[in-house]
Amino acid sequence: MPFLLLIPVFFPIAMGLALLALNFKERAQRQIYVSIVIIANMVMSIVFMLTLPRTTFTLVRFTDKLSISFKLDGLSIVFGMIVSILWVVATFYSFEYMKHEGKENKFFSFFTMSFGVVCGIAFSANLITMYLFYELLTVATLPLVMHAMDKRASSAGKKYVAFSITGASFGFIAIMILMNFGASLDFTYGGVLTNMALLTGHEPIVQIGYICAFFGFGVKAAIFPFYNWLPSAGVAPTPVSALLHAVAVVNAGIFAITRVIYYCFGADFLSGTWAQYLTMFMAIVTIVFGSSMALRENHIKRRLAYSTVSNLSYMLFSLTIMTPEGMVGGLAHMLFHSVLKITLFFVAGAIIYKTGREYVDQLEGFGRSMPKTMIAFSICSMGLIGIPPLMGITSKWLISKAAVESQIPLAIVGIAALIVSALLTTLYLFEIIIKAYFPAKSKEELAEANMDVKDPNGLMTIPMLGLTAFSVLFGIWPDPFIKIFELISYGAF
Amino acid sequence: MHDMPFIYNFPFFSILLTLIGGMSMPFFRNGRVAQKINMGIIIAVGVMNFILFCNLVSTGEHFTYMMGHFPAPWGNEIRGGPFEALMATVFAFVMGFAILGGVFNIYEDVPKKKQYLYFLMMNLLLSSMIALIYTNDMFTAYVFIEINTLAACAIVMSKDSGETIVATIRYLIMSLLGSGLFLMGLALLYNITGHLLMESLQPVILQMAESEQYYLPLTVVFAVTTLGLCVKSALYPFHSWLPGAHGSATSSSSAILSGLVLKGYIILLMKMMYRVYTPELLAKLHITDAIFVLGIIGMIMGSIHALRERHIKRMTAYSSVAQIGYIFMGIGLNSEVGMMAASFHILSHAITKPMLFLAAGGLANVSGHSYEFKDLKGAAHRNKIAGVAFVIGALSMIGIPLFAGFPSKLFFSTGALHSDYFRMPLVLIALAVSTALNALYYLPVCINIWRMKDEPGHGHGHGSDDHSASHGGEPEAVHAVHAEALGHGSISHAVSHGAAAVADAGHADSGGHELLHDTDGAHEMHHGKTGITPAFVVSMVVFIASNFGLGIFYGPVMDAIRKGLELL
Repeated sequence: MPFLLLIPVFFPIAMGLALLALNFKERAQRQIYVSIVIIANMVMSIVFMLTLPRTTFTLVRFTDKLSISFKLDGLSIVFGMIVSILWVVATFYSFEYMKHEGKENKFFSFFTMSFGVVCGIAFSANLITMYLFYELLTVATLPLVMHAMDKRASSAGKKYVAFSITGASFGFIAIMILMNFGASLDFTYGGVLTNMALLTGHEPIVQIGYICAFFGFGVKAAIFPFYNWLPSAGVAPTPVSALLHAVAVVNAGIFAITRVIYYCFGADFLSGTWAQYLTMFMAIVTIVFGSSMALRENHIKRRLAYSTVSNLSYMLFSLTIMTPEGMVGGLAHMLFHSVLKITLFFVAGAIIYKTGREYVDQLEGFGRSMPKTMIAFSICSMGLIGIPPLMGITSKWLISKAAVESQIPLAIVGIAALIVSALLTTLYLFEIIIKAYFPAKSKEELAEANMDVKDPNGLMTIPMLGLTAFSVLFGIWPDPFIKIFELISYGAF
Repeated sequence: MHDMPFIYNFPFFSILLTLIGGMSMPFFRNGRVAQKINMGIIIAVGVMNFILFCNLVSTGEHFTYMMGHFPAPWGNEIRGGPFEALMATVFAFVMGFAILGGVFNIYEDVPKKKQYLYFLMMNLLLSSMIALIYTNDMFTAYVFIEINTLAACAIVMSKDSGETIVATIRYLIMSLLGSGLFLMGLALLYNITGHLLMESLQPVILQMAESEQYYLPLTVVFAVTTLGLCVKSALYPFHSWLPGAHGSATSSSSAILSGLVLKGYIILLMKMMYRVYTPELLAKLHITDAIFVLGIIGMIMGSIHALRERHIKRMTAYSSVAQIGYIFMGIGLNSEVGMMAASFHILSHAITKPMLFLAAGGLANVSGHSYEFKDLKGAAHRNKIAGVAFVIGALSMIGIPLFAGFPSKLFFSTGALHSDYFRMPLVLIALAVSTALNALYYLPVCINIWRMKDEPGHGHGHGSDDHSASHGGEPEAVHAVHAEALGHGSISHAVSHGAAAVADAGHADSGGHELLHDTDGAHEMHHGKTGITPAFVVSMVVFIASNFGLGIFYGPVMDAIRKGLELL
């Protein structure tokens, strides 16, 4: 019954639209409605992902090469799992957070709809379907970015649209090129450029197509020089920054590029070409660039956003190594970074929610005032820096290993970039930790400044601490995930 | 001619019926009666052409029809094939629903005594467009171009305001310039060839081209006639008349002008390209190159102009300039695929743009008849079907799969991949950039019209009170809130919203924004009529359905177009 796969995609979209129409007057009613929808959808998507057969379900067939179809494979399950679970966590967090932003009905409608759209990206069976949901993701998340509807929010929203849609339309060029020179547009492990009669003599165009796809879909993964929308989109409410701009949207970009490299163009076709080196080079540039910008930035959310820019390129770098090991590294970092970065954003949101402070130097002495929040922040920061045995080290190790084994000279430069970036990450995250725990001001000054600074309530702290605990647990014991990623990367799952 | 099937008379019937129907209207001098006659005729025309289309597609035939059985050079000929029949069917369909959807505004905008004349002009417009589609004779084409121009000017002017009169004068001047150029080209053509019938012209022209002595006069003729039609179909940079005319007319007029009238000339141009000039010759004389470059520039510039607009109908009108650019770019690709893409885009734009214009009109009806963005805030909540239609139209314009705009984009890029290395990157990049620009001006409008009614009171300023003092940028936000509240709608709206904002500010609980829902009722009362008539809803639903229909089942349509172009 592969048509069941449609439910996790269209159920939230329908329910989100219904929420717009229902427009609950009572907050409690809305919260019950939203939590039922989101949890039901998580349960359904997980159950379907684990039980449904791996067959294609075609919803609409345009022509023999073009159709809107859905199919499960290992990669879609990984992405679907990350998104489904974190979506539920983020929903509970937003119940509390959105109290101070207002317009909750609209927010939760689009928040719910985006869940379906992201599931659509995860479960799509071919490039056209993915392109459809990729465009819809921009449309569905735009109202969330422009939530405040003031000047800053609407200019950030316009920037977001400009970058994302331009990117997707360059992705569309790549789709057209693949359609012309490839055997089909269905995701096939190893690529679709199997028809040598079509391909021979047109390699340069196809490589340009790959470049278009990488930078086009890479816009959502904030590749340099198309990263700028991400820090600006920080004007969105924090749950949006946390879930969409650290997990769902940006990982959709990574997911799309994984599909493009390993399932469309094929690693064999690309490896060793100028196209591979160009994309790898840009990923390396972004790694260092993002970290340096994060260090310069004093606004907490923007600092974390630049950190995301840098970390996304860890994954892109790993993917452009174009070996199965590279894919393992990319996937592992996708999972670990999602967990860590969403928690860091939750912390930033908790600080903004409780105190309204948005800048790094306003956090003096917070370790004492917001103990739970700052513990979550410290542990996840150390994870992101890559201090063993916490989460981040495993993925960085895998990426470096893949880089060394690939024997590409540029990849060795990439390892250097990883080291530099780790150093910068330490600097920009530890600055906050040190300010929080070892304040320069005296106790009396602090007591006055942080008079009403307290930890938020359970709706916010439980998601943060829960994710932190998860990150510690699986930082120490990452094997089950790595095994699955290896199976996927070798095309066996 | 005795064994000619009866249905081959249909194009002739269509033209004649619309003309006679139009002429009957002055006898009644009544808008409502005229509208009924007009609608009946449109349905008849649509049905006849649809039957003809089905027949021609299944048999794969085309025919020439001599009016009054006089052979050339005295007689006048009609030439029909699947391509022409398809276009005529769609034109009748779109026109019918565009009038149906805008009928509320027609009766409101057009002075009562002149309403029957409005429908008369609609009849003339349809008649001239069908004649342009079917004609086989260059001079007949010219005559109907002029009729078309005058009727189009009349339907712009029918909304009796200073703005429309200025717009009409500009339109008239540019339009007459276009038809003047066409006439000049035609005179030259007749002078050097001695023919006016498309069929007889082509061999003579080909002969001349072979001798290579007539390159200069042929280039001039081709360039001048093409230029004339380009001016009339608002190819950038000859678009200056369009935003005024389409932006200020009543909704139905804008819908029909943008969706159909512009395309009538393009279809004539395409027919001339195939049946008179031949694509090879046009390519040799670099006419297609010029069209191609102007098309690409138009795609981008139209959107850039649209980006600057704060008036929803003018913005949509500039978007038409961009879409016309797409069509000419497809023609300029100078290949079968490019031509097919252009033809398909004529159809997809013909069903999308009228929907957008009608939806914009519907939104304005519930916002104090203002088309300014600031007045349209939240308009979609007051007219939901128009809001939905506008969003769907916008998504279609961006080219998201499942909507009618997507196959166009698909075929344009296929066309690009099959063309030379000069055109391919240009088209692909222009498509990508233009997609993004479309999104940039349509999506903010969609968000604007779906804004919640209570938003003016809910900027940043609505934090829970324990931290609002330390909230960065607070005074600015509050200021913006007030400015927004004051700029909202007509004065009475501003008062009601202002009062609401004050009430809200006193309400410390952040859940308080639900208070504002009762302002909705005030809106309704103030306007009395909302314009959400059953006719409007039906027309919107039909346009939405046909948008999805064309977006999903574009395969058969494309096959028909391919067949039609082969038979041209």
